[in-house]
Parts: sequence; structure tokens; C-alpha cells
Amino acid sequence: MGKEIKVVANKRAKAGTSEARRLRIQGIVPAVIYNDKAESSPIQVNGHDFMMLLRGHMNTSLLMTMDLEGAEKKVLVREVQRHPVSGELVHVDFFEVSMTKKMRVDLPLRLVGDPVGVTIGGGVLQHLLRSVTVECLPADLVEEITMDVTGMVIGQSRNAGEIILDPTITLITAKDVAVATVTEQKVEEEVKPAEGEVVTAAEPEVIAKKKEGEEGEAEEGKAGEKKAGGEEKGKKAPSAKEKK
Amino acid sequence: MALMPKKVKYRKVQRGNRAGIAYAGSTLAFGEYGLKALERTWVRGVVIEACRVSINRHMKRKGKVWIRIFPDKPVTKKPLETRQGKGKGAPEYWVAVVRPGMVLFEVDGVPEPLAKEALRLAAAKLPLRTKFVTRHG
Repeated sequence: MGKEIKVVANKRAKAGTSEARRLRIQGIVPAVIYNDKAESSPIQVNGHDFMMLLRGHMNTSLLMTMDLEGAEKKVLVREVQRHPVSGELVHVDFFEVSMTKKMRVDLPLRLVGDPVGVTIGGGVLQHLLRSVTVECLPADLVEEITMDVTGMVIGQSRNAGEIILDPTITLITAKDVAVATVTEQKVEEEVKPAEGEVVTAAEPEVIAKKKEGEEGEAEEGKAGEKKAGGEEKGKKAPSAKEKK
Repeated sequence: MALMPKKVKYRKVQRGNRAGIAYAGSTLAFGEYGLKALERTWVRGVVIEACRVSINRHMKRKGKVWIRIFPDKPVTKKPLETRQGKGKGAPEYWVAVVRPGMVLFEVDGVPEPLAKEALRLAAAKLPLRTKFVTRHG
């Protein structure tokens, strides 16, 4: 575990959407803290300060020391909700951890090095698994897990079981799950239309059920000749008026 | 060839609405870098194809590209110099409905500056404002 991260939080008196929105306008982020005994309480943190804490970290599964109105607690950030467009913090989940109890956490998996199959063979490295679930004591928690992929050639893949972990960390993710693979680069041919040729998109197949009388029309429509059908309808309309 | 569905239930659809922001499809799902929409619009199939070509050309066929939107909505048009009425026009092109927050393209397997430039070139072809997003924030 690297440098200790400290976060200051206060208890939140009012709950609900409207109150949460009022807090966000003031730059405060509504949050919640809970533990493994299913006890939870609403809290709030300073939005800007918390954003600065998260900056530069690979993941949000960070162990922090929370100062909750004088009481110090070891917490893990479980979830950070952000606005889809602005990226501003909407809500944060903190999980209170016991330093003597093992916990399960998702850690990001980073691939290190350039595979031989990419640098020499011209292949593509595909990163299939981006996070793994591990079990460890909070004190042994690392920010990310790395895997060396330098020796990989085209057609080769690495599984989760090949990740080298610290002895204090246990891998929970299935060992046969593929983490990375090097595949051949697909060469796509660019089809250019001949000069003077107008590219017209063919219509897709229509799978809707048609009434018996419309079947003939539908086939015509597929060929892009719906015009005739439209004219017939147009002729019928005035005849109805004439009757009146 | 522009993107379009293989099979559809109905040839023509109503315009629908584009209100709200995207919650689904608003995070990076495949690649390390992506292009996020900041405005709402319809994006034509040919435009998506042009973006794909420009990304691939700039990346010189290295890395991998994912297209996260698909034009599944037909847009009809009446022929020129026709009087009003006589029913809805014939399908003209296909569009994808894009709402703010949607990740349009994702890229992986290339360095960040290369991905950024490739997505900038693609963004220049799109009829909306976008921003470059990464997994590490």
C-alpha cells in the first residue's frame, strides 16, 4: 500500500433526491458509508477535494482514512457514480473495512510491455480482461495488478492463472479466463465505386407480417416502387368525398 | 458501404424523440480511449463509415477500433418537385440516434497521442461536439 489517502466527510441530515441535488449545487457530493454488518449512514464529502483525490489513480478501489466528524475509519471506495456527460461526481459509496478481515475487491489489470507478435509480427494485442477479483487484507491492497506480455507471439494468449501476484493476495477470478491475446491484423480492402457509378443502398428485408391483400404491394415496395400504391390510395380518397 | 440493418420489421418509422441523455453506452466498454458525444443528433450511416475510415487510416491499421453506434432508423424523403400528400416518401438513408454522453467510437492497442489524433479526425466529420475520453480519467 502506498501513501495514505485522507478524506474528510460529514454526516448528512437530510436524504432524498431534492436534498442531494441541493448539495450538488453547492459543490458537495452525497455519499454513503456501510459495513459488512449491513449498517449504513448517509454522509457527504467535498466534491472538488474528492475529485482531486481520485485524480491520477488507476481505479477507484482505494483504501482511505476517513475523518467522519472526528472519528477515524478505514474505508474503501466501492463505487463512484459520475454524470454521463460532464463527468462530475454524483454519488460515492464507501465501505468500512476491518483491517484484520480479508476482503474481496476488483483491481484493474494493466498489461506491461510490447509483445513480440505486435512489434515484429505486426499483430494486434487484445486486452480481454481489464479487472480481476482478488482477496486480501486491506493492508496488502495494491492499486493495480500488472502482467508482462512482452514474450507473446501471434496466436498466443495469457490466462488469469498466469498473473504473478504477491503471496498475500489470492486470485478469485477463474484461472482459465483469457486476459490478453495477440491476433493477426485484419487487412480490410477498401472498395471504391467506379467512376460515374452511383452508390445506392439496397433496402433491408422486411420481416413484418403483411395482410393478405397487401402482399403484392409489399413486394413492389421492396423494389422501391411504392409510388404506384400511393397513387391508388390518392384516387380512392376523392371518391369517398363524392359519395358524401 | 454505409452501415444499415439486414432485416427490419417495418420499412418506415416515425421520427421518435431524442430527449434526455445517454445512460446506457456512456462508458468505455472495450478500448482504452473513446470519443464521447456532447450533443444530440442523428448520425448517418455514411458519416459513421467516414469516421471509421479516417481512424483506421490515421492508425495505419494498427490497434483495434470499435463502433458503438449503429444506424437502425430509416429516414424517408419525398422526391423533388412532388406535391404534398400521396403518403410518406421512400426510405432515403439510415441514422443512429445519438444522445449526449454516448460513446461513439473506441480505440485500443495504440499510444494515447495517436488515438487522440485519430479520434480528432473522426470528430471533425461528425455533426456534433465530442470529447476524448480515457479509462484512467
